Amino acid sequence: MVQEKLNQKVYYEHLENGLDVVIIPKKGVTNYYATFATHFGSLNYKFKAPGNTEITTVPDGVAHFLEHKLFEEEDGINALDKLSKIGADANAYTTFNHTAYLFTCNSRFEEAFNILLKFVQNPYLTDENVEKEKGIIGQEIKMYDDDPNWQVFFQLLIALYGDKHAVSKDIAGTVESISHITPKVLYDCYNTFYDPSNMVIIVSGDVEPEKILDIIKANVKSQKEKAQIERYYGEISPKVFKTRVEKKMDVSLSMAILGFKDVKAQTLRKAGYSEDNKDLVKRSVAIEILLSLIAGKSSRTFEELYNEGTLTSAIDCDFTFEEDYAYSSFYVETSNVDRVVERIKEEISYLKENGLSKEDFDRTKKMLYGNFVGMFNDPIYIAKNMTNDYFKGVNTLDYADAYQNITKEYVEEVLREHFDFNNMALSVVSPNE
Amino acid sequence: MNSKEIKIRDGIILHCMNTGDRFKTNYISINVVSELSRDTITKNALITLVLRRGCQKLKTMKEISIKLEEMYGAILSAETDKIGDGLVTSFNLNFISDEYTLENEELFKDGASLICDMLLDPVLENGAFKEEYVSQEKDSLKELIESKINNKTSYAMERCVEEMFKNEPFGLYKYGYVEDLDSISAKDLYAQYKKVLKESQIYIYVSGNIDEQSVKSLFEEKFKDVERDYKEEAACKTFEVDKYKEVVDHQNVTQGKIVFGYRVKDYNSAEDFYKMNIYSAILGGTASSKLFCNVREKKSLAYTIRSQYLKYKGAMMVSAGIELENYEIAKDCIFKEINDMKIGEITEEEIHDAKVNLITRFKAINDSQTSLVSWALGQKLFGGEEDLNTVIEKINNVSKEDVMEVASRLELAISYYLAS
Repeated sequence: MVQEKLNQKVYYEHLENGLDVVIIPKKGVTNYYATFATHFGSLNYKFKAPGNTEITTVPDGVAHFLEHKLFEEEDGINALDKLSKIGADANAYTTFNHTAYLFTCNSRFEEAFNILLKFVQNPYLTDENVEKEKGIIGQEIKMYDDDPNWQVFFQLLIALYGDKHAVSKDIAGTVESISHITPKVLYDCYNTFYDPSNMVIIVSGDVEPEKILDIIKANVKSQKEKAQIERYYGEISPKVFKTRVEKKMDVSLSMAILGFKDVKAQTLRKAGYSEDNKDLVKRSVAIEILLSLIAGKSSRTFEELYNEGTLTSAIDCDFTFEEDYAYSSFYVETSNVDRVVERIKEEISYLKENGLSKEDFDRTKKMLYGNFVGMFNDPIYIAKNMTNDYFKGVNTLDYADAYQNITKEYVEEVLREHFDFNNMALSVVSPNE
Repeated sequence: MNSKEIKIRDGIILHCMNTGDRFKTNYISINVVSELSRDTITKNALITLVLRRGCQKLKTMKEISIKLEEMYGAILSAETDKIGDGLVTSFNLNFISDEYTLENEELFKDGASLICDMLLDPVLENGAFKEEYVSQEKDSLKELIESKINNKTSYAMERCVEEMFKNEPFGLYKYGYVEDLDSISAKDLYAQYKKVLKESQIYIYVSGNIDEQSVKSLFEEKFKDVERDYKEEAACKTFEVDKYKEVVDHQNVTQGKIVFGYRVKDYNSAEDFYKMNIYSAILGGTASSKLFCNVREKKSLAYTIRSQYLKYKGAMMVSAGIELENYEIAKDCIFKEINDMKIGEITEEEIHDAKVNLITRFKAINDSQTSLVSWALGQKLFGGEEDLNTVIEKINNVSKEDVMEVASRLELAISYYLAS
């Protein structure tokens, strides 16, 4: 299937083995980009593999640990090294819901692509190399422990969803949890989640889609598409778990995130990577518009808080939706967290009562559309967005229409229902005395 | 790509980079290069913040934000940054090309005017900057300076640079100093602004599907009334280099951060640029570098470990995040790798890998308007004459002897440690 938006064609293919392939060709660009990703992240600590009757539970941080180890190869030469030697800049990352292996390069693309396909499909795990990684990941965990931005974000997730749900688990796990990781645990997870039917390949650059598909077909194991993995995320606390969580760190000013738990997104979602998830895209765009109208740079909220000295930098607004949860958030750095929260609530109430101004609404739509166009400058950037959106179950290109066609009435409806003060939680990291 | 350099006035140079239909956006960047000194650093940082507040046409931040949103979410940034021993104040604007607007709007002219107005036509009151803006932005700047401690990795690097370059402008903090703020008046600040605008070299970059003639006349018109007294700067000043020192800071951290600063003795920027790029790539610039492979992968001592070459200063910084109790062993391991390079423990393969990596990075610049502009500006300020292709060629010509030669001139200038 081919789609086109803003003079950019995108090719989609679902192979017999269940693998999804997305190719974003662009003539004349210098850089190539490829990612090979699996629907396996820190949320997947409890699951039932296809054909299994028993539920497997694994230590926290396994997906991320496996990400570190997959570069290890039987010939003793790290795959990162192999890619580096031919000029490819390789990397990998783990999120709540996916693990991705990727590289950028500007020559010898096919060679690099073959290395990527090979190492992701051939794990090499030994007691020794697993043990060795614990020290490195231990330092990664400690780096995040000292990072107030990460701490304030993580506290919010727990405040919204409670400590029974997988989202409350740190992506890299803890020094304690990773001490239980063995090659067997990693192989079990690998065999379940690193199956073509649970993976996607996304390629962009000056490439010929047919040729890329041929390489993939020749190098990714062929088999019948497997059944879905059953995933258990744990229980989300029905109300917000805590309305306010606070912690002290060595910071200059308080950092705070005000979050609104979204309940509706889950009811709109259709399983998997679905063309039918346009409603989810539409909802996400509506909330993006609302966030900007409530607290964006041109909002009265920001103007007031800035002029009175409560804020000295913009309010960072975001809507996050993943497979099992969704929330909107306002991030601030301020000396007066309570004042910011009050002002944001006041603006929400005002807009609920008086509706949105047509002028502000149209302008915000235009802004989001323009930012979307900007993304199309760079096929790597499109590919990165496509990867994230893929695992959210939506198609990046669907945003183009949503930004143009969304109506004020629909957005007002979402305003009244999403920004419910009963679904609100606050996370604060404040300075040590 | 078609790139042209046009003189607008004395010391004001316009670079037009016509990128055809490669990008769906335009990028305009105005860069004012001023003196970096302890006396003016805080003022200059403050000026940027005050200018960002408004211009005669759009007097408030809200009006500016509305304008940017109307321009399909144009992105305006105003920044000050150190480039070597100089200070660069940049105003940058990124916005979609006219052909991608939904109602055939003409954004380019508006964009170019807006960015010029932000720099040249500030909101004034009794012959000075608007008092309210100055006092509010003093608070903003104070918070900005103090927020340095929030990110431990960059904090450790900043502190190390500050100590290592104590007698040089480069050692100053780019946002200045809290204790300077009280005594700055709106009047002083405006006088400093006029002075900077009068005496500084100004580089304007425009990238996009553009028509050079109309861009040129647009900027000529905007800059024609600016009071100028530009003199080409004298030869580079030299500064007394501080002696070797060890610095330890304590904070409430669970991970220790080490930074080692090195200087290249008898630094010759034109030649050493190539040697040092390769040197640093081999030591700690890539995933196949010595530090990454040996200190991280083999010894499991760190998650982040890297070296960075500071081309303007002829220096190199080596940094890592480590377990607090591992300080001595991590230090020994890092020193061993550096010593190995000195005695020629460098394989042809390592040199080859470093070249391939650097070349990939240099080529990658071509796909982004902001990277193209910052590369071009960086080259100008560095005094590099070469274009990207020549740089790549020269990278390819660096030999093992070259790397050893520069290795023999590296001298440890500081050991910095952020501990608990």
